[in-house]
Amino acid sequence: MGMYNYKESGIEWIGEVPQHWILKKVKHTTYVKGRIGWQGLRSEEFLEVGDSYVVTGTDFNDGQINWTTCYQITKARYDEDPYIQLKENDLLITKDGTIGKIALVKNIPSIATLNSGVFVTRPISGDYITSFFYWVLQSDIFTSFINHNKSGSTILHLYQNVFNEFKFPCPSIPEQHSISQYLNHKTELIDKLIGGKEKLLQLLNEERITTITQSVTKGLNSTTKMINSWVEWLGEIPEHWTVKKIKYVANLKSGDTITSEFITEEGAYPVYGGNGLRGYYERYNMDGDYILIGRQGALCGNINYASNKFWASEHAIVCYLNKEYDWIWLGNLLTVMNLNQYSQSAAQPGLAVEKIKNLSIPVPNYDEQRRIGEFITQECYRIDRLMQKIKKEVEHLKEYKTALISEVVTGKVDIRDEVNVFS
Amino acid sequence: MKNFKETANFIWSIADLLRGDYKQSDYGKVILPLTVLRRLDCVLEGTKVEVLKKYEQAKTMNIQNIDPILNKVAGYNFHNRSNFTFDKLVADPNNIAANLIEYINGFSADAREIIEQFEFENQITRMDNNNLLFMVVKRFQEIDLHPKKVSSMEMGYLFEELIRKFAEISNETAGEHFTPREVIRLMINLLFLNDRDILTQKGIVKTIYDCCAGTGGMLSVAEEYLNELNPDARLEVFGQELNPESYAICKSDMLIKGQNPVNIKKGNSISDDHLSTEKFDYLITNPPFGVKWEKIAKKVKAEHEEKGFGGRFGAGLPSSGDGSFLFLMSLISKMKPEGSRLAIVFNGSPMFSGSPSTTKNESSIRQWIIENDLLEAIIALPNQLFYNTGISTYIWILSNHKSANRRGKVQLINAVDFYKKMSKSLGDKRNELSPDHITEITKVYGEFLPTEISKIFDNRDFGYSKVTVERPERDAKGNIKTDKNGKPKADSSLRDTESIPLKENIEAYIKKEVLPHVPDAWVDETKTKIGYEINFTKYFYQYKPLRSLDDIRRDIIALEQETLGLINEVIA
Repeated sequence: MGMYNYKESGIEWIGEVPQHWILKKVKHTTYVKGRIGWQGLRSEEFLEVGDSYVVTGTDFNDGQINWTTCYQITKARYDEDPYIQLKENDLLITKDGTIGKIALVKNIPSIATLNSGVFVTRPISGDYITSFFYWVLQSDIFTSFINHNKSGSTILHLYQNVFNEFKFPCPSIPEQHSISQYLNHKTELIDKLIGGKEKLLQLLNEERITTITQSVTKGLNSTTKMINSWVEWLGEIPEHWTVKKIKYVANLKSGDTITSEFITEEGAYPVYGGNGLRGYYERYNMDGDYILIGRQGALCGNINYASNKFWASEHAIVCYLNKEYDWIWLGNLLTVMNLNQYSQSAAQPGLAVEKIKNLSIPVPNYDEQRRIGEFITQECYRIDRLMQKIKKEVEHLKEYKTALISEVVTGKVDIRDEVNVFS
Repeated sequence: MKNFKETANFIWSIADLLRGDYKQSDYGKVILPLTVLRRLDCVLEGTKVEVLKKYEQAKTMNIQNIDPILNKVAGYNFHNRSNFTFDKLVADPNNIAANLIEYINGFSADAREIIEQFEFENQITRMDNNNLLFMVVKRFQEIDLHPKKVSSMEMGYLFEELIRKFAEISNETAGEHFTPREVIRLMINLLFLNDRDILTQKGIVKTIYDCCAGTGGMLSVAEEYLNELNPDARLEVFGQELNPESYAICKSDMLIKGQNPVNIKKGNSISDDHLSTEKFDYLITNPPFGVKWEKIAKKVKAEHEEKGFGGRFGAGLPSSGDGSFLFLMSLISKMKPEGSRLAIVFNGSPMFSGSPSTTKNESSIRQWIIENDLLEAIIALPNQLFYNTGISTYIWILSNHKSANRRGKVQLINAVDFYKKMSKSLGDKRNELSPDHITEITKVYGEFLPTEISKIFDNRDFGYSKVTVERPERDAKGNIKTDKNGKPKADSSLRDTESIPLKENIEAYIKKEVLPHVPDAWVDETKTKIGYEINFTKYFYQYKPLRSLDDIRRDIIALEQETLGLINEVIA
């Protein structure tokens, strides 16, 4: 690492910067233009195929413009405002809605202009290069600046007179080149790493599902002799298992109606609907260990577990297990069966209890059910723990990326020596 | 009555009888006046027999003005001298319309005026023609609104709930915001704090005024609250209200409470101020936010231009899209020279709207308020506190007699986190202030100390010079063009402005912040203007530094090692 000498920038979120860096405001360095009003541009004028692209914030994708999602307009419309005609290497910033999103203009397919809600910027003073400014705007110093300048209103805009006052550090131009190169390289690596971790999460999830499915449909012992179950989705099952309709294993009944008015944020007993906890109520209608099946809505067929005293609402189907059946085993089996596929779409999708009751399931004896339930619980615990750690790690990697960008663009990390390594 | 909402629902359900004959949006025209009538009926019930007796006596004695005598017997500032009550009205179904009119005419003048606000006689005819009148009156007769059952605070809630339903059903744009009781309590706490006289003296009488009185919520709570704090003090309440129904409800409430009904005025307090010469000890209001005032612009502009500081609006006029400041200026004009205190609810914009210009606008109003040392504190309230708006709201506290330690200072209090979630939301209201929150906020205000949520500023801290920075026009060769005096000509396309805090030296600022970037620039001092704004968010903005790269690295490596172990375990 190099040896910068530092000076105080006078701005809280920038902190110290290297002695020889200078601080500049947008208005002294940058051409900033937006579409004034709509200039009468109406959404009917957006064409699938026209002469000019018209870029909105929703076309920004990972710091680039996704030209394929851009609307197009006529040449006449493009010609109307020369100030916002885009050039290669322009930097765009969203100023309405999600403010401060950035995209670099690259590979314009033909000609392009701005829609409303976006600023186009380009350097005019020679103090910075766009590829450096790109990273400044991606950094926490810009985020902090925006948060600091939020006015009391609920709708957020980045007004030009506010953006004009944004102050940022400018190293020498060669340093800026190094910094942008360094950050391009490093962030690409971090993104790849994050991508890998996310893929790993998918795989673990797949493993989790397969573990459960295998256990409840084929049993725990792979050497067991298998026979045909004659149930289509099930295929072969262990020879000593039987196939039964759900209604012989458990009675299924909807919970009791409760008006949302009575559900409070705090209270004596939890209220469970089709999708888990809905709130609390002063009374309960259930006491014990129960499986709940979501009865209504797009997510119907969801499986939840509830214990002790609680209120099961009319949106949940409650499974009352017969003796000698294990609730963890059955809950997992029902999850695997993806009950959502049996939903009927009326005004709102929903499950018919009758239909579910008559589905056939593979049933081992009570002892084996319990072993299967315990095995699944154990395996899922391990996998979930790992997945949680990996998710945490992904969070930290994202945090690392944010911190790295900020530290590099403010000169806290001297990368002058490092760049040579990979340039 | 534990649940005013339930009672309101019950009363509102009477409107089901009107279905088919009335548009939904007209239900209120029947429900509101009958609720008022029934309330007055219940209030007078206990003394009715004596009033009638006295009335018979008085008639034979040929007394000129019997109203005060009958009021006295009734025990209120009003009475009813007709033979009817709701009970008697329903006993004679065949003559219900005529009897009801006679009953209404039997009220003393102030009470009758209240009923007139609802233009209720038209409804009597209409209901009678549709054979609805008896059924509706009967249903009202079944509701007990006696003060022993329903306190006046509950009655206030009940009316507000009915009006809210009425507004909802008739799709009225929600301009009027009822003020939740606990917010009023906070405001009153802040107003009365440090006022030893009103809190301790026996028999002291003070006055309070609300220029957007609505149904009188603020005035009622102020009065009740003072009664709790010092039962020997008396608060005389004054108010003006634009909406006739709200006015009527407010006035009936005051009648029942024994306030002087003449103090409640009808009309627009900005364009038609009925209390223009009065001064009050306390001023309080929750004006409509962002209300356009074009309709009354002529009168307001005339007052501004012709009377200047002799009128209410000398300091400036807000933009036509938001009249909030008009209410504040109107209240300020009613402060007593020997000292008054004022509390007003605003949204965020009065703190920063309007940029300094040659015409007197919001910025000049702020300048005038702050430079005259009137602004004492601004308190940012939690959001989702009001019934029909979720936006951020602020209480401004003004005083023309600041205590010595507050002189020249403004306190900003960030109370946005002082709330608890309601178990059930009411309209947009999901949060409420608990009594502890009110106590805590009042304490922070009273202590007047800088803390994490309380910041103390000099008046001048909010002021800034808006300075115009010019740059020379150049010809094609890049040479500076000059005017006939040899001075550089300004290029208007390069003109820029800088906002420089009043406490900073302009010259030094320009040298440090402008000239290094645009060396050929100069300040055109003739264009410099002074502005004031309060960037509430900025003062409380807390920069959260990112964690250091080393810390994050350590976490990542530790997790990576753990996951590796776990992966082996999972795959094994």
